[in-house]
Amino acid sequence: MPRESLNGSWVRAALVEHEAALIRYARSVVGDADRARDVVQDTFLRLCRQQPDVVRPHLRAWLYTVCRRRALDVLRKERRMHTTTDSVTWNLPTALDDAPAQQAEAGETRQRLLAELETLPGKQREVVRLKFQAGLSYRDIADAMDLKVGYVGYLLHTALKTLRERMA
Amino acid sequence: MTHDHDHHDDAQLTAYALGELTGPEHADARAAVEARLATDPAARAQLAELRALAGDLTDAFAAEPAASLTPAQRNAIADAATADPPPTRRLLFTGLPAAAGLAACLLIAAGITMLAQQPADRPGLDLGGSTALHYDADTADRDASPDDDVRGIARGQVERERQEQVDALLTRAMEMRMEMRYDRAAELVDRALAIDPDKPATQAMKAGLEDSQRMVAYRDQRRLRDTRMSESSIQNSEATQPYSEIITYPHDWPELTVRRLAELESQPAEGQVETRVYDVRDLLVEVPNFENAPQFSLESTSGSKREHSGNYGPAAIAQDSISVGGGTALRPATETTAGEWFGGIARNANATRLTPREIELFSYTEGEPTPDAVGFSQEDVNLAIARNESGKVYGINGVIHAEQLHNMLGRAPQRGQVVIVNGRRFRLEPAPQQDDAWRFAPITATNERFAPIEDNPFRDVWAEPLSTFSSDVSTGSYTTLRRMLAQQRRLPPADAVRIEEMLNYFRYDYSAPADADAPFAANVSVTSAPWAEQHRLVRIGIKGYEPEAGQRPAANLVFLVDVSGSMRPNDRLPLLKQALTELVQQLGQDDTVAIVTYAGSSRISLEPTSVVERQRILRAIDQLGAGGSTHGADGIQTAYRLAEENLLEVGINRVILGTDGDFNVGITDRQELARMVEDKASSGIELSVLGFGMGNLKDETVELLARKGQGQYAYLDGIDEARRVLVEQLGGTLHTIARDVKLQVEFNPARVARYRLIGYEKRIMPTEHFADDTKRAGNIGAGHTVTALYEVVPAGVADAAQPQTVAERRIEIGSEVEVRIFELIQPGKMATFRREVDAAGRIELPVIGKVEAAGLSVGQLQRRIVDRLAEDEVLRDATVEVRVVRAAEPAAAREPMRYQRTTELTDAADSDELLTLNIRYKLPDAPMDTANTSKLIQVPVADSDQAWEQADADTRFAAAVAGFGMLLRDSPHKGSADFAQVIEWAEAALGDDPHGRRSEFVDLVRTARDLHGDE
Repeated sequence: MPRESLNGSWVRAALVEHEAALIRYARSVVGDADRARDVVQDTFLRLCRQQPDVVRPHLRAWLYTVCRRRALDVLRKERRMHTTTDSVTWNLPTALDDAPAQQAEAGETRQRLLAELETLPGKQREVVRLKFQAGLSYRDIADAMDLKVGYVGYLLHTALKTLRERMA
Repeated sequence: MTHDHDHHDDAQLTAYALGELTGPEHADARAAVEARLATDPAARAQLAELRALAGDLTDAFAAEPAASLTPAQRNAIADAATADPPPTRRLLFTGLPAAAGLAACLLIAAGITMLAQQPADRPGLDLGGSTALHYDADTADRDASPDDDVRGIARGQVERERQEQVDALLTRAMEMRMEMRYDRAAELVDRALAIDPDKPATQAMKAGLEDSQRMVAYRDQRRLRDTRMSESSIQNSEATQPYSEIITYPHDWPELTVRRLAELESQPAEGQVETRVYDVRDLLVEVPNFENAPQFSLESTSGSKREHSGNYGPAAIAQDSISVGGGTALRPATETTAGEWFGGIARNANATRLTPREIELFSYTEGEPTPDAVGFSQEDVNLAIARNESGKVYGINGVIHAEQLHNMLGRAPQRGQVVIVNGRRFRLEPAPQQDDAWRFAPITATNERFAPIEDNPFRDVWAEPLSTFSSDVSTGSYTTLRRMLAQQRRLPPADAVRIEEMLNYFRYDYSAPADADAPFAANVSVTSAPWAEQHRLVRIGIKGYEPEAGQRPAANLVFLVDVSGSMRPNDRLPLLKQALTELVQQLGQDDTVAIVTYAGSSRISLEPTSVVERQRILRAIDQLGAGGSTHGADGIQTAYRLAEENLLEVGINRVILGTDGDFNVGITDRQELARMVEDKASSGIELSVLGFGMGNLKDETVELLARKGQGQYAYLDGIDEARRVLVEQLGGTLHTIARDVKLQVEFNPARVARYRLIGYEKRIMPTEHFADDTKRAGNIGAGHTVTALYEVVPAGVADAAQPQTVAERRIEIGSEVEVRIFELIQPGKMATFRREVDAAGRIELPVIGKVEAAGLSVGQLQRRIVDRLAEDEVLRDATVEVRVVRAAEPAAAREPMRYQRTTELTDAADSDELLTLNIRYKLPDAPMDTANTSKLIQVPVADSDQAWEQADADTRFAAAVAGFGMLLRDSPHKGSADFAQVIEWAEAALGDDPHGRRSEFVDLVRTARDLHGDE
């Protein structure tokens, strides 16, 4: 019994800490909050099946790795059903999404920055999110995306360079 | 001094700026970058820029709207976490007793809350502390991580502002929590988390709030369960119409929670629905080649909207599509969009065979004759269209700009305008909180099904001098619409309005026949039609013989009771039990009662039991309870078996079915069921149906069964109606005084140019069947009245000479008709069949089999075939064309014509007589050899030019009822009638009104008028 309870509390602590950020991240991949929720729920359900002491040292990286794979699975499944990939718009109109109030408050720079970010190639965009939204290290990002650390550095550098130029 | 840096150096600088080069393994790289920074001002500037950008990005992401999991998702995770523990190797907590561990889990929220509230004073750590410690350690790890170091430097000023924001949000959240406004508080906390996801106080507060919300939800659930019974009627109306359209409830009204739950349940499970986002490139479809598409002539088809002749093939439709946005006009997806517009409803021939790439939009405003065929504009249309597995559109997400929509529709969008996307109907609504944006609100489908009715057209007396129909004493339609109007405050759909059942609901003071040998007295009155001044209104009233109390023959009754889960609400099974209890109280010692229940399986709840044991019967009724799903057919067989075993040679044998009509039997079974019921009725066991509830009610099914079962269909909307049907009219409901009662009216062409039977659309019979004693018709019970109205255009008035359109021509036995059904056999092709109407009045078509045709107009047959195709799930909303290839003369009736021989008038035509009413019937108790021979009553009727004001109250009231029915049906024949006039007519004709039913009618008309005015 104690073990069960403690496992519950461990997952719960992880949930409290990472839920919101993970959903935001998942949403950036799948496009809408509902599917993002599903992806994140699934991620945590998988976490329940992990051994705490194995996962805990790199919990954050683990969560984002799993979450990313799940999100991509969702997208892949969809693309398989519809042969078109290029014309799929990733971001839904936010009107029916969550409260737009915060968006209104957000500064213009942020808006522009995010808009510019959307114009970057997919991998760069993703690396930027994993770095600045999820706070992962180069190493963690490399694990999550199955890339070499050096390549992550290159991607991030290129992305930031482009953004700097455009924002200037 | 500038260095010529290669890419590697710059990438290293970025890594340095982002705090990557911290560990001992990066010492060399770090040294290289720092050396460069020391000598290169450009590198230093670059570093500063990078850090600023990093801070901006972090902020930008943090400011994105936050979302959290739903409580259900969290619970699922919590369950998985506790139910399926993996083996753990680190036995950190094994020293704790089991109970303490459990407590630790439960106390986690409390522990964190304490931490948050008393940061200086760490609480004692024995139980909750163990968890809190673990939590703290985790946080400490992270605090020490190199990432945060760098981020801390990069944030600087921004960080302080953010903390202030977070604190302000938390303070407000705290206030909200004090006011128990948990949702609002949770929202604020989410915003705080969006700014700083790591702050323990915020996290703790979120956890606490969620617990509170869950408690509130739990309490609400319990309250819901407790009040479930009283809510049922509201839930029912909920099933048919969204709340927002009726009334606004407070936000915490318990029913709203029920509705949300219902919505969740009704949403298809994952995997069944896929959502995809279309942009306009997806929607571009190939323009099909129409050149080879069949052209069909319109002359032959019915429908008042399509009387112009000419080619109206797919090509014509395609040319109608609108060129928008200056780009290529988008044609409807395939030629299958060559739709058929029936009374403003777009009928799409191929709704079931769409591929995901095809999409069409139709829009129309209800009541408008011609819908606009619509394409998409070239501009981006960002709509997410959800479909289920079969490709049927299930919902549309997103909003669309007004201008774009205008282009798509070819007109300015209007609130409430109906748009059809691949067969799914949506109503346009302005998007909330956005200017000039519109959304597509799905029109909630109702479970109720009403078979379509096409109003009887005017008929030409020279061409069709005889009008034949079966008697009917059902009243279900009136009580159904009463409930919709009075309780749900909505206008009933046109197909739910059967005027004959409205007319027959009311009691009329017709004189009764003296004895059982002449079981009817006919009572005909002629006055002017109040909605068309020049027309005459003929009211036919028939009153059945009323035996003295105690004369009723013994009854063998089998109650067949639907106890499926849907019968649980108070207005269903509990009402049925109450009704049956009152009925049993009225029964005599000679009667027997049996009870069969059906749900998942059928069960005999009470073997046939004499009413001598009344208490036993009442106990059995009392013990009926609802639960399970419905399989109607099994139960019906059992009920008939019991009735047969106990069959009374002389007396009443009847199965009384009480249901909300939700038979769980297949469509083909429905026809089979109807045949069985018909069969049993001819062997002497009748079927009456008591309909209950709303929303689930398959009106057309129960009506059909009662019709085939020679019984009565009554819809019981409350105990008063139950008493009226089962107690007041006990004699009539149980005691049939005449079987197969058919009415035929012969009009005198010297007096009448055209005539129209108001209502009785479902009871029309082929002319030949009147004198054919093998053809069944409705039965009449003791004391029942039957009322029918004809609107007559006298010979010589202005619109008398209006020629009968092809669509109005009646199909006769022996006529040859051509039926064309789009895509019945081959995609994209009309299938054509030529059939002669057989002696039974039917034509046989592939797939759907025999369809009754004789006696119908072309339009009515067309409607019937469309209905059958849908019913048999062959084609939904099929495109069907019917034309008469060769018209057969109406075969000579067995009765010699009174007024004309072919085209010559008889002497009798030169009289004042307007018409002759012929009634055929069979006596119920006569010996078998004569029971099969019908008797005939003939009543010639003259028109004494009675003015409307002079007409008797019953006639004027019946006219008001018919007028109301026509208004509700929006009949093309309603003439000048409006609600105010109907009220006036009815109020002037209330008479004694012993039960207040006529006054109630006036109230209903008022309600309808108000609702109509709102639209």
